Amino acid sequence: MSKNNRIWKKISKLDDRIILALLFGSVIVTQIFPVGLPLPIMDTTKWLYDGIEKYASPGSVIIIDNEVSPGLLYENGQGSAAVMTHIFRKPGIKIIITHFTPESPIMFSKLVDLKWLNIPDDKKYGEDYILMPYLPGIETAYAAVAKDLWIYEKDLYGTPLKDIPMMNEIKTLADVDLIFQTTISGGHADAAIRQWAQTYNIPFGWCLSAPMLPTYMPYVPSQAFGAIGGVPGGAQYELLIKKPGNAVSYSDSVSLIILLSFLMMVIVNISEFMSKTGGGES
Amino acid sequence: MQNLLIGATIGHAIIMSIKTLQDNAIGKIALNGRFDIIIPLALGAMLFSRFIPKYNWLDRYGVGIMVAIGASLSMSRMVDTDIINQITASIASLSYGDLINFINAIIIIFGTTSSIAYFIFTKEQKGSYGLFTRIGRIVMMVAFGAVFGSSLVGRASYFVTTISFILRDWLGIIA
Repeated sequence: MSKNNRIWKKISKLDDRIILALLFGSVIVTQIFPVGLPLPIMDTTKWLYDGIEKYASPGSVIIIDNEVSPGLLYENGQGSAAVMTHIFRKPGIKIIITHFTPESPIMFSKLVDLKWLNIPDDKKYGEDYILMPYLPGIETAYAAVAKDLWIYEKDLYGTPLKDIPMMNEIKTLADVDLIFQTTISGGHADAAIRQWAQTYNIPFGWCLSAPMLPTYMPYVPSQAFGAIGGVPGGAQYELLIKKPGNAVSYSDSVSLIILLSFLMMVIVNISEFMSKTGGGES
Repeated sequence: MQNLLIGATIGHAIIMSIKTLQDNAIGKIALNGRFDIIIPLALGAMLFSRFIPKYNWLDRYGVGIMVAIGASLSMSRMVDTDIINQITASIASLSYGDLINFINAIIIIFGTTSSIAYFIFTKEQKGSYGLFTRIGRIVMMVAFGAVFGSSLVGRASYFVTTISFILRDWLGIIA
């Protein structure tokens, strides 16, 4: 076996720990010294932004279906918070925040505590926005809420809906002008598009996890006017609303890891090919 | 640590379930006299009969009702969202936008029809039809590649955000 062949073989059998150390090192370096890699805005992100600009007009009623999960808080929490911040900035709108995952009501507070979601001081609870409690059932729950928003009877804090002024003129989903859903669950995404967006023909926007985005792309823009996925989508949206945050700072590291993974795939494939065909043998 | 996390998650889910049951069922029966809620409550309780071998047949009623309602709700809408609207959107995309969008729409329609043709097994896949279905197979491979690539981005995001959480938010090593 020639020296060259041995090198190719060595590269193709590279220890996993070296690859992990390389990835770990690249994250730390890019977190300490941001490279500022270019971050182009995808069409779907722009469509989501434009849709919210168009439909969140004064007097409109908006549902934010918040299904942020603690496990993927750092994956789609930033994108969700960026879109919610954009919605909350809009004047004269009413926002209803629904939850169909047990832990999602806590996660809304977490987004506020982490200062990822900024609720403007002029937005008053009960007058401009309301938090609904967790409702189990997914598909059946979405269908029930669509028919009658007063199925909740009380808000998250136990106040009867009849004592909440903003709910007086909102009865069913037919009174809603825009829906934004943030989720990492296919069940919730499917139920919302079927029971809400499709049945009531309401403009619908999504914040999904990055692996979910290609699966749900066929719905965009015909049934959902826009969508973002994971950290990259969140970073793009943060730039659009001119509030660069964590997602932008993470995007450097994510891009570098993808680049490294791609390079490694190419190198290992070449070395595997060369070592098998005896490449470089003199 | 792993046990603690799982325990806390399950504990929270149990408490939330009890609270939901209290707010939406027991509370309404006791305070509002909504005795009709006893029926779904009984069907729900029947689900637990599977733990008693002698009466485990009872849980079929609860499961049957849940499956029937879930399937009827989702399937009635699925035809619209997943079939009719997808076909309409594919065809409608031909009629708007510039030349690039038009070419894009042609590729989408060609890719979709050739992928579907691949799964028609009643016609032998040979000749020009075979070529058409082979293109469909390539289109599907490209789609799977896109899903894999996006999955890689997702996993990279999990890795970066977790490392960053440990080093920045938890240990405070990096600013």
